[in-house]
Order: sequence, then C-alpha cells, then structure tokens
Amino acid sequence: MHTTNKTYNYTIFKAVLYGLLYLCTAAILFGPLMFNAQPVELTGVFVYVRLFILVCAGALLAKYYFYMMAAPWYSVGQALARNRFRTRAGIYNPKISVIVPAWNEQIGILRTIKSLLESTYRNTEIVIINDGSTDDSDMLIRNFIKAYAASGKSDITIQYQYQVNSGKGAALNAGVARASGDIIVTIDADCVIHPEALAHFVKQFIDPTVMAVVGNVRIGNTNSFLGTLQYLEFLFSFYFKKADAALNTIYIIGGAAGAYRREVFERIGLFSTTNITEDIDLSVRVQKAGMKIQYAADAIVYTEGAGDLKSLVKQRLRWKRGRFETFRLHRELFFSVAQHQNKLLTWLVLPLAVFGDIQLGFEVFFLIILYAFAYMTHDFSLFLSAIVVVSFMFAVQMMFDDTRRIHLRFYLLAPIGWLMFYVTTIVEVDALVKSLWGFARKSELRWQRWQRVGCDDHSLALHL
Amino acid sequence: MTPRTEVNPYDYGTNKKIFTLGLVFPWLLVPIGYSIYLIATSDVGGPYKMISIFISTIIYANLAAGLSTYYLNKHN
Repeated sequence: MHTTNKTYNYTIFKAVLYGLLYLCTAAILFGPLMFNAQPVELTGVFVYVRLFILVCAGALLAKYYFYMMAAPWYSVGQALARNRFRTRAGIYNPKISVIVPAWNEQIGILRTIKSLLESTYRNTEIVIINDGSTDDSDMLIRNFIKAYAASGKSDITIQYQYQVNSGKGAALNAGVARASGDIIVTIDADCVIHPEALAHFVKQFIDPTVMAVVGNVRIGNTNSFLGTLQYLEFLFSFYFKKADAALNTIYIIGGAAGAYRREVFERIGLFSTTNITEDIDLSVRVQKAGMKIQYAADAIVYTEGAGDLKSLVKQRLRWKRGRFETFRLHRELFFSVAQHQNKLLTWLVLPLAVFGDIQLGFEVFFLIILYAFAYMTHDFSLFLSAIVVVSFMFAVQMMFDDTRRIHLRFYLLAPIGWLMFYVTTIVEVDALVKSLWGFARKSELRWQRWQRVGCDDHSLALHL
Repeated sequence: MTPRTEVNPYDYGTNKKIFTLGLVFPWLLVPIGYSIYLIATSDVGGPYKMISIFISTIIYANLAAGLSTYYLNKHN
C-alpha cells in the first residue's frame, strides 16, 4: 500500500514537472502572440547583445551541424564494410572473454551475468573480478556459479576471482590476465546486455583494421525523471558517436560497453591503475597508437543511470576529472602532425572537446541572457530557433535510433528536451568547477560510491 | 536453354528500386523544397534562415546516406 502511494505521488510529481516544462516552452513559442507586438527596434546595448548571442549560438550550431551532417554516413560505411568482408562473415568465430569488474554490486551483478548467458554468441567466457566488495555480492556470485555448473549448461564458461580492493583499473587488468579470448569485452556489473550485442561486437572485428569497438549504451532505468533525462542525453551523445565512427575520431570507449582485440593490450599495455577513467585513458592510447576504433550501434548494453541528483553529480565529476587527467597526460596528441594519427581528431575533435567544456561554463548564463533579451525586445526569433533546432535534432536521433523501438513518450519529450538538458548543464558546470578545483589540489578519486537502484524491468521491457 | 519461369531477378530488383525511389522522392522533396522556399522568400531576420539551412541540409544528408545504404544493401 505504502509503495503504491509512493508510486502514485511520484507519477503526479512527474506530470506536474513535465507540464511545467511544456508550459515554459509554450510561453516562448507563443511569446510573440501573447505580447501581440512587433520586435522593438534594437538600439544601444541590445545590438551588441544580439550579436553576442548570434556568435555564441553560431559556434554551437556549427559544432552540432558538423556532427549531424557526418552521422548519417556511418550506415554507408557499415554497408561498405559488410560488402567488403562478406566472405569472412560466415567463418569468423573468435572466442570472446567478457570481463565484468565489480565492487559492491550485489543489486545488479546477477542480472548482468544472466544477460551474458542468454547471449546468442556462444563462443564466450565470462571473467568476473570482485574487487574486494564488502556487500553480499561474493556469496551471490559463488552460489550462482555453483547452480550454473550443476545445471549442465556450460557452453559459456564462468571464471571468478575475489581480490583485495585495488581499484577498477587493477580489476580489469586481473580480468585481462585471466582471459583466454581473442577479443576482450568489458562491461560494468550494473549492465544488462542485449542477447545480440556480443554477436554485433564480433561483426565489427571482421574488418582486420578494427582494433577496438565501442557499444551503444542505453539507460536501463527510465522510470524516473533523472533516468529519462540521462536516456535522452545518452541518445544524443551516442548518435554523435556515429559521426565520430564515420570520421574515425572516436576517443572514448566507455567501460560499460567496450571491446578490444587482445593485440591492443600487447601493443599498448593494460588499463591505467592511476587514472580514474581508465577506459578513456586506454581509448586515447589506442588512438594515439594510430589504431582504428569502430562504433557498433547495434551492440546495445543497458546501464543503470544515476538514481538521484547527488549520484549524478558524483558520476559527472569522475568523468570530467578523468577526461582532464587524460587530456593532460596525452597533451601531445593535440594538434599532432604525426603521420599515423588522425588529423581530424588531433586538430578538430579534441580541441572541440575542450571548447565544449569552456562553452559549458557560459551556457547557464547564456540561456538567461537569451531569455531576458527575448522578453525585453520582443524578438523571440533567436529563442524559437534554438528550440526548433534542439527539437529537430532529438526527432532525427530518435527516428534513426538503433534500438528496436522508441516509446512514444520519448518523442513527446523532444520539444522540452532543451529545458531538460538545462538540468544536466547545471550538473556538468558543477562537476567542471569541482574537477578543476580537485585537479589543482591534486586530490584523489577512486571507485564511485553512489546509491544503486539497478535497471528496472519496465524500462528494459520497452527495448528488449 | 533457360526455362521460361526463370526470370532474371535483377530486372525485377531494378524496377522495384525505381518504383520505390519514384514513390519516396517526391514526398521527401516537399519539406526540403518548403525549407528552401522559406529561405528564399523570408523577409525576417537571420536566425530563421540559419535554421532553415540547418534543417534542410541535414534532411538532405540523411536522405542521401539512407539511399546510398539502401543501394549498397540491395547489391550485397
């Protein structure tokens, strides 16, 4: 009864929240009608404010335009690769080792293992490294493995190791040392993998020049407002991965869904044990060595999004801080002219990433200026254009999404996406300030400690 | 001698492709054409023109890439 009331109250809260966001958007869309007035002729400071807005918006628009124009060509590249390597497709069947590093993941770990066991690609071994968990995960995993061995279904083998807490990088390295596969896949212990995902990872490696592959990560708990917000955010960023793949400029392979040829570790070494985003560090090293990273849009992995604002801030702080550390460590990659490195990455994409962080610092104020300008001058054209552009990008990304179907409610959120993103902008700015502060003080960050809720059945049912 | 029932599959494929393109293209040209019309005739300020170009060219890129993928998949 208590749970039902709680769910009911939360549904009302969400309805009110979304209603307010729609109202706010409608107020801008219909602002000109409400005022029934022609735009005021701009004089004095307003002329410069408008110019400032146009320059900032123009820079932002140029960045998005570049990605939106490049992304559709990903599918052409994939079709060309399919045609080129079609003779190898039927016979290529390498062994995969899936490494699952875990630290206090009792809520989601069994679900992760079960989803791996349901995979359609059977030439697989699972390597679980428990990095000194203090919860019940050790007992849960051992019991599960016993039951699995007793069931007689052992075509996919499971290896398990419990070790003293040493950090995620060390846990992954322990997994790589135990793995016997030709391809090493890493997934987080709070993830649920689509049954076809491993097969789609393998498909990309048919091309012998591909050394690493990044999967398509989706949020698996979209029942909450924050979950939905992160779902849209991931949709946005993983759509842009298509552009990066088309241009061979992927420099982030997230730990939630990454795959590497064993050769990668032999050539450039293992995961960093000192960098808090060991996944970004390794991906940048892969690019630095001039190796090709591909994106598998159909290799879908569902991950748990941060369940509350505090957890989201912690997560973003780690990402931001880790990226800064990685960029500092590999700074020679910026504007590099080395023959084996992609100049588009070193001269455009990486500087754009830094520009994105600088721009982030101004974004909160920019929107306030935009809002004040529209109501003071009755010139809503800039604001309207921004909303139309963001809504359009959402609609295109959902239309060309690789998950089986997109629930109607996500389409309905396109018009208010710009406001929802404002929440993440504030969180990101907070993370930016904190990470710069921590970076200056050289304070240490380790495994994330945030409230686990796990992927929810309802959200997964929409896609699986 | 080739049996009469064995029709060259490529003929049917080509016809089907032309038919599909003929059916799809005009409808896709409507929003693109409308965007271009807006850009050409609009007497309002820059932002609308900017987003018209933004939207119409992205539609074009998606259309071109989609058709290329379709063609490549068909001839796999």
